[in-house]
Order: sequence, then structure tokens, then C-alpha cells
Amino acid sequence: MASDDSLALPRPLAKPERRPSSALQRWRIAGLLLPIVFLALMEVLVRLQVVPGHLVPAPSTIAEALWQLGGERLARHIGASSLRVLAGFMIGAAAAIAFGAAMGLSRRLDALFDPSFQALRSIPSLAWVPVLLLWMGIDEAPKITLIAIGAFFPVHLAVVAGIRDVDRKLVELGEVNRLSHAELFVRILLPASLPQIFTGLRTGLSLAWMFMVAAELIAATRGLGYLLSDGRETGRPDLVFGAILLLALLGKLSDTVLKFAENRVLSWRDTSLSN
Amino acid sequence: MLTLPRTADALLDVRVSGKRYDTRVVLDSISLTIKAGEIVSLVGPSGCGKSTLLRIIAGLDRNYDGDVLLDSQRQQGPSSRVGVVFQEPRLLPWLDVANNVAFPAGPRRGSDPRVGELLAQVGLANARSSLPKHLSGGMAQRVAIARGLFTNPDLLLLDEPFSAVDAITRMRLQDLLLSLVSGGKTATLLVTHDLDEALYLADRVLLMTPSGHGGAGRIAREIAIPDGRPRDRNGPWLAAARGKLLESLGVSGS
Repeated sequence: MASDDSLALPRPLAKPERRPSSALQRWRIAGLLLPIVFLALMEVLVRLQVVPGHLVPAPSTIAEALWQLGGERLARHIGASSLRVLAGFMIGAAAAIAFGAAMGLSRRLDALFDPSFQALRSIPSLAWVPVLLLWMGIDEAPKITLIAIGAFFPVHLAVVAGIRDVDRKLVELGEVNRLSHAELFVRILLPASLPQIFTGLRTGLSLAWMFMVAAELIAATRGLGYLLSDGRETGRPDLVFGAILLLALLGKLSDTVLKFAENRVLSWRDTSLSN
Repeated sequence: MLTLPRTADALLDVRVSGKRYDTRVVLDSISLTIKAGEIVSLVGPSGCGKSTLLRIIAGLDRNYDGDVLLDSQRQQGPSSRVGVVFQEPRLLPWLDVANNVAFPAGPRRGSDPRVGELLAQVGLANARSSLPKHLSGGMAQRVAIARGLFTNPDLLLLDEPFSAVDAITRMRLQDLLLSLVSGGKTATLLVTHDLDEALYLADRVLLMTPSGHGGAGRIAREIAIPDGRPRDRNGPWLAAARGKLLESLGVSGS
């Protein structure tokens, strides 16, 4: 028994007081309103012919162009692109976590693979397109592969760095408790590197969207990248801008989902911004 | 290799004939034994190799000449019969207090009845579902002590466990440690640089100094503390014992 009663806690530990967040909340709302204000401003500038309409279509024109596409076709474009990004991102991220874990755990594998991965990482997305078309045809496979390549490298880098950066002291705790290599990975290395892995996943997801556009610019009949190149070829800046706006919106939405998951999974982090 | 006779009834029997980092010798012929249930302090100035010795005993450092026997069994790496408490709490920040205490048992074992028992003993029964980020330094170290004791080890090793907390908390934690290990079956080896802490807690104090060849650490003096417990933190025995240690350290004891 504790010999000193003052050691005992009178009640469950209170969570630290939350900073009054109403002031910050206002800035958050303002942050969401900012793009809307910008669009409204553009509308006014185009209507007043300060900005020429054939270079920057008015937001109302863009909305109308999207409206004329019809909900079903629009949904098909968005759905096709989103599914490709989802599939490519999941495949790329899964492969990156597997390779990253192997290279993070083994100095030998790292020494073996690192130069090749560094070289592959510096290949621009568009350079892959002809190769993948040649190897895989024009079906879904080359598109999803390209997206997976885009998502792979940031996640891979984050996993390797995350495992490398785990505090040696925590690894020692695992040693004292005689954890096997697999247990050490699951119980200490992986959770400790999750903050970095999540940062990598978010970077990987945004790159997946970019690579998706590259994939669809070349050989596609559906998708936002197709919409983009179709608008360009048929001289429809309203469609081009419509596709750009949709890409921005979808990118933001998917990142928000990932960020939400990150905050849930990493609620244990002791940072000034959490809680 | 030393060929001194082994102590038959020792729980822990350590013989290190040499330990070097690169070319620098950090430990010179060292032998120490600990009996079951005994509390031993290893005290000495910074850099004398006492933490290195503790890491060897814990099985974290296997690159030395000599051997570590636990119940006459040669140790090759960490043992489940030895608990370790480090200088910092080293709690896993993603696990709540209960799961941190039960970490040696395996993943998600926080509901083990032993957890509640230990947390009550360290005065943290209400903190079992708290995350480490909500704990003060002293609380976190109490959780670490509970984790070190989770497996009911025969030997508890502590590496300057109270050096990072304030003086008042340190005294409380010292008394808490005594309440957990004294009179029990758990033998304790406490590494510290605080002479008073070493003398207050231990049955036997080993003074380590860099007096070997090239500044290598050696055990320069051993003092047995006969007094029963609880001890008076201001008693004359303490001044006398401290005087002996200071004399061996070459520091004026007045």
C-alpha cells in the first residue's frame, strides 16, 4: 500500500481543460467561407467584364455547364475517378506499408532496395503513361497502376522514416519484455510510427488524385481527367474549370475523411493542437 | 576470468571481468551478488559505469566479458524473472495506464486483476483508463514501477528511477518503493547517484568509482546498513554512513 495518502487520487483524472475554442471556431468557418467569397468575387468581376469571360468563366457559367451534363453523367465521371483513386490508393498504400516495414526493420533490405526506389520515385507521372499503356492496354489496369505508383512513394518514405525514428528507449522496453520481432513491430514500432505514416497516407492520397488526372488525360472515356481533356479539346473552359473545381472538392473531402481517421486513431498524441 | 568462489545462496551473481566501448574500458573486474529479497543500492558519480552494469544485468547489453547468473543459471538476454524500471517512465503513449502496466503480459491485457492490485498499491487506482499524456512525471513513474512489478519478478532493477522528479515527490516515491519491495520476495538493485537515497533505501550500498585502469568503473566500497525500517531520514546513522562514502569518493565529509 502507498504509505502516503496524498499519493492517491481523489477522483478519476480530469482531462485537461479545453481551451475556449469559440474564437478559433470563427476562423474555421471563415476558412470554409473564403473560397465561396472568392467565387462570388469572380462572378462579379466577370459580370462587370473586368476579367474576360473566355479566359475565366463566371462561376455561374461553370455551374450551369456541370448542370447541363446532367446528374447521372456527372455522377458517372465522379464515380469513375473516385473508384480509380480508391483502388489505386489502397493498392499503392498497402504495398508501401509492406515494403516500408520490411525496409524499416531490416538495414540490409533497405540498403538493397533504397537506391532503386529513390530512382523510381523521381520518374514523373506522365513518363509512366506510355509504358503502362504499352504493357497493360487502355483498360482500367494501367490507370489504377499509375495511381498506385503515385500513392506508393510518399507512404513508403513515411513508413521507413517512421520506423527508423521510433525512440530507441521504447524498443528497449520491448527487449526487456522479450518481444519477438513480430511482436515488437505490432506492439511498439507500428503504433509509434503511426503519426508519420498518417502524414504519408495523406500526401499519398493527394498524389493519387494527381496521378489519376494524368492517367485519364490519355485514354479514358469517363472520369474527371477525361472531362478536363474533353473540355480542352472542344474549347469549353467552363467544363475545364468545372472539372478543376470538382477535383479540388473531392481532394479536400477525401483528405478530411483521412484527417478524421487520423485524429481518432492518434488521439493519444500529446500535442498542443490535440485536445 | 575471475575464479572467486560463487556464493551458493545468491539470487543474482554477477562477474564482469571487462566491458569496453571501442577501446575505452568502462568496467573493470566487478563482482556482485544479491540475495533473494535483498535491497542493494549501487551508487557512484556520473560516468562510473553503474548504468552500464545495470544494463548488463538486465540483459540489454551482451557485449562484455564475464557472466550473469540468476539462480546459478547463466543469463543470455532479458529474463521474465527480472523487472526493469528506467530513468524515464517509458510508458507507451498510445496505451492507457492499465494496458501499460499489463504490457509484459501481452497486448490488451489491461483487465488482468493484477493491474488493479498494483495500481491500488501505487495509489493510482482511479487512473487506470487515463492516457500517459494526462499523467504528471511522478504518476508516470509510479505506473512504470507497477509495470516493472507486474510479472512478480524475483529481481527488480531500477536505473536512477527518481532522478527526474522533484525532491518531495522523490521522497514519496522512495517510500512507495520500499512499501512494495521491502520484506517481500522481490530483490532490488537500485542504481542512483544520490548518496542519501542509496543509504535510505538499501540493506547494502555498493559504491562504484572510476578507480580502475584508465578510469574504468570498480566497486570501491560496500557498506551494510544494519538498521531496521522505517529509517529516520535525519538520523545520525545516515551522517556516519554518508561520511564513509564521501571518504571513499575523496570528498571531504565535514
